Amino acid sequence: MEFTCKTSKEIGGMGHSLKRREDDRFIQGKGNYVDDVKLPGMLYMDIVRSPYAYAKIKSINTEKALAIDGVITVITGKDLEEHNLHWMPTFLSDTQMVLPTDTVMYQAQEVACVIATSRYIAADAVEAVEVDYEPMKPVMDPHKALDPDAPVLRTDKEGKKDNHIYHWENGDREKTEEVFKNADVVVKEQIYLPRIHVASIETCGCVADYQTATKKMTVYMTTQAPHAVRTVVALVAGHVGLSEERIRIISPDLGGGFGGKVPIYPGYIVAITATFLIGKPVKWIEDRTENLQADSFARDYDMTCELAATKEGKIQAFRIKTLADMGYTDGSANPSKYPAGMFSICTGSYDYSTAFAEVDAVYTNKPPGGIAYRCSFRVTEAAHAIERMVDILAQKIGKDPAELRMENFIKKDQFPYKSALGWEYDSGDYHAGLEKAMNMIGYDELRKEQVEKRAKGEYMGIGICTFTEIVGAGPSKDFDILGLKMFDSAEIRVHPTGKAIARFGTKSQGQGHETTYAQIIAEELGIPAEHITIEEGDTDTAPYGLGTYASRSIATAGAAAAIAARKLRDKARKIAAYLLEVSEEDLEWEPGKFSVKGAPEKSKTIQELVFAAYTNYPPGMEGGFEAVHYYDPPNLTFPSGAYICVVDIDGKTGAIKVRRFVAIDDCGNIINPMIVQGQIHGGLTQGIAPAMYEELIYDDEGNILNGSFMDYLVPTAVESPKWETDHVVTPSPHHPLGAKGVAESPTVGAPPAIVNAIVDALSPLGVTHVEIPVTPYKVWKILKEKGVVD
Amino acid sequence: MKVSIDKNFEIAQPVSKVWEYLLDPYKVAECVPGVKLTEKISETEYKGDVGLKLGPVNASFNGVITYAKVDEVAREIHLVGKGVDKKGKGSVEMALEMKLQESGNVTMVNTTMNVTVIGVMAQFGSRLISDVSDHIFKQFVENFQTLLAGKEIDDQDKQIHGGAVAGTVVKSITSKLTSGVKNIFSKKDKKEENENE
Repeated sequence: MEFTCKTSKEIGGMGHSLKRREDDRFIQGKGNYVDDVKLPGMLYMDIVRSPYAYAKIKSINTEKALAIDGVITVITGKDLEEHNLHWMPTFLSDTQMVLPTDTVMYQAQEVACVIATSRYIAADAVEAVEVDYEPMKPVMDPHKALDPDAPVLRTDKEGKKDNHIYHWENGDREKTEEVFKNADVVVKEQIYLPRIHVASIETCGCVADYQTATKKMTVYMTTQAPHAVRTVVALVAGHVGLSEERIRIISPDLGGGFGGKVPIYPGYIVAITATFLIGKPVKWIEDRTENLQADSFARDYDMTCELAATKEGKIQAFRIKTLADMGYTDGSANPSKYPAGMFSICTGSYDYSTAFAEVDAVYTNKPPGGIAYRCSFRVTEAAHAIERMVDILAQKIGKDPAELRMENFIKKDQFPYKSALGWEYDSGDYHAGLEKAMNMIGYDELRKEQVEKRAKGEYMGIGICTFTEIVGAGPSKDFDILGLKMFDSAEIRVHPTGKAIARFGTKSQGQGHETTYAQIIAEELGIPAEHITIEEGDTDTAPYGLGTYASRSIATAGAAAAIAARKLRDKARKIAAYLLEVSEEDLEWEPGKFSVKGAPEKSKTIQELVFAAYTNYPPGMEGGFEAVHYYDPPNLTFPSGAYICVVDIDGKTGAIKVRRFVAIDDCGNIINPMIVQGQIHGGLTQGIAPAMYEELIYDDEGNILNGSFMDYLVPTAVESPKWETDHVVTPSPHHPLGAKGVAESPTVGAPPAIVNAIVDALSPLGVTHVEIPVTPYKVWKILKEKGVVD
Repeated sequence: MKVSIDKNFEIAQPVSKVWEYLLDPYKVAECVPGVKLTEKISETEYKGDVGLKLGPVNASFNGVITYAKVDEVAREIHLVGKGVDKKGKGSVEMALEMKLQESGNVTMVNTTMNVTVIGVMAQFGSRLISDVSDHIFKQFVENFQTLLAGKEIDDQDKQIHGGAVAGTVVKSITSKLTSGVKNIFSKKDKKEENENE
């Protein structure tokens, strides 16, 4: 798709495919990640972890570990208890242990931390710490967690008598019941989205550095939300003298976040405590197995889905009941009003007015989490449910799934559209998206080919997913985390020579903010993007913001950048009027300069006007050229997509080949088409991951059975099909740039498209649903059960 | 994780002798590779050390072996072994049920063995545990027969061969991988490669 650009290539505003500026250092191996930070006198931390999912700690003997040369100390829960630092809040106002004093709640939970002069000594000392456990029978099945005879796991919570965390519901239960009672057709399916892990290429870690002389705590940390971390650390550790002005969180280059670097893990807090007590910098870096086994999981929603429709296939109502396994604490980082996140987007892209959604969350002896893995808080779960159900309905009534979708889509002129569960969708053109995808992939020809293949006994499937996302949290009236409103910020400072630095409350983890934010400012101010330095992640310098996740950066901080730049353009206009001796109304803006209407030769470039802001500004005006804006979005944004996937299944082995995958995305106006395409490629690959490969598996004893990359399958370039992408653009009416956010759409939309294709391939055998991940073995078992293979 | 093994085997010895040997914990322990009894707690409980190598994981356990059921009439014996790794890496529990039947001069032994593994061994050895358990069981039966025949058990057979089993599995995977990689990078034609192999 061609993008029209308002700015020249030299300015490089919106719509230009500028090469990513951050890549200069990344491709030279000169990025600066947390593990690259080396400070004089730095000590190293390693963690003793529990082999049991549920056990009493009878004793911890640190004697042998302390006897090892180079071991400084071993920190246990009892040590932290002396400072009242053994528990901390989660973002969703639950509580979690920093280190346990008496009970471990999941396998691989932190039990004690060794601080030593080298990483190797620390690892040896971990082996030497002797912990005497009294194992107990863990609660691993979330369904059994609510049994009356299930042991109550959170005995630390006074008066807690069961393992139930919360019940959340939305919609009209009675009305939905009524529609279902009278519907021609009702389809029902149990859909489980298994527990998975973000498995970012960089694990988590920090270097905590407390300077006893200045009483300043600097923490280099793998976090997507440095400001929120600073405030939480101040709240948790304020009583020991760490007040917020003395805490500096620096989030340097991050090797992927995907939601996994939003929570505050115990390791960070112990490292911070250790440097505070010892007075020397302490580095803690997880290894891969620790990351997979102990850091926050995603998904784990078991959903009972029902769709009611007329016999022609007009959707009338959707009902969904969910059991969420949260592990031993609710480690979600959702906005506080939304324990189940944005799950109520589950009504999808379709026009009907009745729905009811409910979620019950329970504690089990698994690691905590429930984070939004490359998705805006449970949107992936919601989209999977509705997009599978639409296909199941199509199959039931014998209608083509594309046709069924076209007939049920919300129409272009219905936007802004109030959904059955109360969201106001901002814009979209779902018909155009699906039509484009169908044309691009050659849908009708593929269906013909499928008929021929089926006649020959071959298994070919075509799967569609037409999802609607909800991103960009969020408006302050409804959105906060721990009470902190979810606005975000930009601060632009232009130097006398017309070059600028801009700082943000968000934090890139690979999204390319250093390029796209510069393009936004270039678009609004006409200063070439290459003259604008972008900084994020240092709480001492950046304006306050809640960080990067939930596709919120462009929706919030990107908007803030546009508005801050417009404030500066207004100032430039005043200076131009002064210098050109005309009134402001007589001036005309084109990217990079103001000129007098009707006399274009009389003009001032933005660089001249900035210089004047330091050298020759109007009397009464403030000098300098700086602006800051904190943007509180009026609504969320609603990106959408139409994805079509073609699979071929080997009828003998069950091997699945994704032959083609077409993704049409509507993320509103596009800032950098190349970066958007890169985001979509990456997101689609993280979409085939849960669809075909990834699942964290636990046994009844609480063991994680695939807690390393030997067994946890992450797709690589080899597994990735060729992605074919294009766009439909319906600008967001409320966003200053008309942008919506893109990075999460492909992760949300790809899994249902793939599963729908696989089910479509197997549908001649009477298959209506397959749980993800759909592995060749799973398919082979179906082929065997249906008598296709012996 | 749990592994269950059901096995029946024959021993060319009278049932009374087999029964007598099974009642002697020191004789049984001698036959289980990697196990050494260290202390008698009571008539039915004994302490011992167990060493086990499972692929990348070395574990040594402080164990307790209990005669949970001894039914002389039915010739049925239940042994429970519980072990906790000395370095806190996890634990293993084994329940062994044996039932003897006389059939001429031969004793039929019906056994069921349930092994529960918790901790690092389950995480990293999960693919190997059932192979290794099977192997240990085979070694036990061989050793037991040797002992009943009045012969000495080889020192080597008193050691666990689990590591060797794991080694074989890993080796075969590696060689498959290497040959795959070889295929990708090999410039030789197929025929020549086959000849070389």
